[in-house]
Amino acid sequence: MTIGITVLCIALLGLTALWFSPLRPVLLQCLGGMSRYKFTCKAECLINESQPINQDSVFSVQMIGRIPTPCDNMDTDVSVEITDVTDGYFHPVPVLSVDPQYRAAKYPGFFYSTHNGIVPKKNAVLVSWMTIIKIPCHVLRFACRGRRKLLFKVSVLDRQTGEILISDQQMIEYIHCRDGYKEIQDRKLMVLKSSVQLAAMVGAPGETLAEQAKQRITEWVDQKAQSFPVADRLAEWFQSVQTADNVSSIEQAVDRLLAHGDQTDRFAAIELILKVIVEGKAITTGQTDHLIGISRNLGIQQSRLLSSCQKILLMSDCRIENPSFLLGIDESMDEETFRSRLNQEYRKWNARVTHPDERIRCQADKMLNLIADLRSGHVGQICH
Amino acid sequence: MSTIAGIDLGTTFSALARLNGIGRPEIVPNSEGERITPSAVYFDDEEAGAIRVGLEAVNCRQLNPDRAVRWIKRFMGDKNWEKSIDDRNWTPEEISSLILKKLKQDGSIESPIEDVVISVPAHFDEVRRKATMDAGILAGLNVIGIVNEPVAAALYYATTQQVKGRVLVYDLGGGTFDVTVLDIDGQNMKIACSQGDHALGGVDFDKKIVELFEEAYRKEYNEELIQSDQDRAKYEDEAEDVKKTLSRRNSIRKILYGNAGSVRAEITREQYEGAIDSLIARTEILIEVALEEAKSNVSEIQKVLLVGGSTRMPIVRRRLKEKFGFEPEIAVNVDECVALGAAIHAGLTLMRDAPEKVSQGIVSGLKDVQFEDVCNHSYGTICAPIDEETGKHVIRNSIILKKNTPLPCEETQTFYTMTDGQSELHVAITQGEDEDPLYVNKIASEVFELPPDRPANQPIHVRYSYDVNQRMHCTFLDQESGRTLEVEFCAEEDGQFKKSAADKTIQEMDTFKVQ
Repeated sequence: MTIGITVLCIALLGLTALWFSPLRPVLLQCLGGMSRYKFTCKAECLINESQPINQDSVFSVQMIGRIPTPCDNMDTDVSVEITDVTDGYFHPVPVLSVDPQYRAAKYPGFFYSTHNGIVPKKNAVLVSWMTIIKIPCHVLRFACRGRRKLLFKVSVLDRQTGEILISDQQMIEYIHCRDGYKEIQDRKLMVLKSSVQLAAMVGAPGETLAEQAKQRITEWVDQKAQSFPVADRLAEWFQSVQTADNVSSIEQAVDRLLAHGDQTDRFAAIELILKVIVEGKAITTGQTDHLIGISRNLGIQQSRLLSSCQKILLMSDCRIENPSFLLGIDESMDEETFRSRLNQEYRKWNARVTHPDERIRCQADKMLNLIADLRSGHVGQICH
Repeated sequence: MSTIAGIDLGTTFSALARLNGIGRPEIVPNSEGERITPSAVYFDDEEAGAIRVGLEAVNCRQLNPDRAVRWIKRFMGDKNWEKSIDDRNWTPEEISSLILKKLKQDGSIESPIEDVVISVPAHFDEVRRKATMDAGILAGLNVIGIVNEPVAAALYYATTQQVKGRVLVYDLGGGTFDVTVLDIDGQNMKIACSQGDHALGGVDFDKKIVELFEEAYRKEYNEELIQSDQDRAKYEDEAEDVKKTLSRRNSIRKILYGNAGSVRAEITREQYEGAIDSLIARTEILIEVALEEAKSNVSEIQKVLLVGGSTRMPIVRRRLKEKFGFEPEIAVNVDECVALGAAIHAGLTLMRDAPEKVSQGIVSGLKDVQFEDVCNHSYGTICAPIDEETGKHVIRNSIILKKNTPLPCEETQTFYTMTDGQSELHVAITQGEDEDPLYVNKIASEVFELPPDRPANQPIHVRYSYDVNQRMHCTFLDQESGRTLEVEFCAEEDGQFKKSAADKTIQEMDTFKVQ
């Protein structure tokens, strides 16, 4: 009994000493944590009724409870962060925002911070739920499609120092019905790989890719990496790319481009192929046949293909074995279609022959000579 | 009253014609008594400051090709072309002005030549037209207008022959080729369309003969015939003679002297026609393109009028007969009709713009002549529409005034601002047929200041007009604020001489004497 009373007295004495010591805020925090005024955050997914047409959902983020501050009248901020923890707390992946107002600096990850106002007392309590933000779901980008576990973290910070005064986090589940950015990235990567593979296969069928051609592909990859950071993964992969002139490999690459790329990706692939083949000494009939076939399978209009071919191939110094393909001429054409096609191209190039840029004038001269040769039956090769 | 004249400033030959008292054009022979003057300039190295123009320049060229210039018309408006003679760099406009000066000098013996119209190929763009006018100003001429060569030829043809129906003018000159389709009814002419090839003419046919010379020499000695610029100048001149001879005879023999020895080469007409087949094919394509543009077919053409010295080649006449089923018309002198027509055009221009300068006799002679010309090129502006295939904005040239629209003409198109708060618009005026901005010629650009803080999609009306003097005017109107921007074509960026420097250059050019 005596022992019990002694322990109690010591404990009381200790608590009294602690109360008057600098550790009092820690003690208060512990006591507060046990109280019903514990600082708490809440995130909910709601249908945005103000925008019924869009049927967009919003994440409503709220907070309640005691906000401990080292002094009275402290100016504070409040921040909200979201992490995707579907794969576990130790494997978090970022949630991205497409709206710059929900980002920190240049990082695309979601981050929101706003002025919370002055907390009047050291242990002031927010007695009812206060909405910090309603985040439209359409501005967020999640890693993958499907059921996601999202961890919302709310922090109150000292406005002057940025020091966290208190924070809380809550996890909710959300079903994401669109493709996630990882999936999109993987697809984009696949599209880029297919483009590079096609360029390598058409550029050096069954041979080792020439250094200049490799350089051209590397430049292309680097350029893509500027707008699509994951593209730099391609560089390593590219070292082992196969250049085998394998029809089935070409078909597979075309299928991947068709399945996962959009029209812009397909144009880009054709342009890459062209940039690579001009690095060779000559453009063979086999290469031009491949190019026409690939373009047809990718659903690219012949006029677009011709325009790209003329723009890129005529700027180069390489010899073209079958120059008539540059004019969209093929052997199956009847006399009338052949003439009409030549006239159409003549009209186009004749208008360019007085262009102020000497390179374009030179291209126009070459093409007009080619058209005249084809018309008079003297088909030659375009070379410089 | 001053003398009203027309000048055919050709690639190989030039000519001057004046209107007589009753409005009939007459060729004015040069001081050597020739009706046409070779467009050649030679800067004499023996007689300081002497500049020879014409036949003498052609003859001197073989001795010192570095100091001679021929075919300058092919470089008109080219800011990169310069000929350096005795520490002075001559531009194509300055060289051309020397030729014009010679024509003016020789033509002013009876009475001074003042108001002139100079002819240009129909396909010449704004830059080249402006350069031609500049050359005239530098020569001390009052250039009242520019006329398309085939139009000038047709004008002369229509005023001297009884013609009715659709006519095709086939103008194959020394350096350029034009095809014009027009309707003639007495002295009324309506141009349907003009098409031209900038790099096709007698010079190119001559080059083919030089190639035949080289081939013959290589076959004999396995060595090159032409080793220097002098050799080239010599054989280019000889090729011109061979070409002319082959128009009259079936073959010609020539002794070619090279470093390895001499060779007696025979060139037959058949051989020559084989060599120029692809060039002739080009003329045939241009005819088809012109007919397509004029929405006409071969059977609708009632007459084919030949213009230009190169039409003397039998192959030209034979192929035209095969195509149209009748002999082409040689009713006018192919070397002179352009200058003669240009003089008529000068009379008509003055009657419209300054009637007090035209004598009653000329007015009576030309009062019944009427003609309607067309816009020679397409004019547009750069915009950023959404690509139908990719759904993304693309930079495009949007054509506002289409080629071959009858003059005077005016067209308006509406474009929209792209972003919220857009406070300026970079406007560009283009000339060319392409949708791709890379391939069109930007002839002027300005910044249009717009009111700030407005949402996107503000309408901007762009109005282009083209007058009978072949000059273009552009107006950009912001609908909401009523602000306008007038853009005048200015070729200064393209290498033409600036107005501020013009007087100085004119004074300097005045000091050069041509012989």
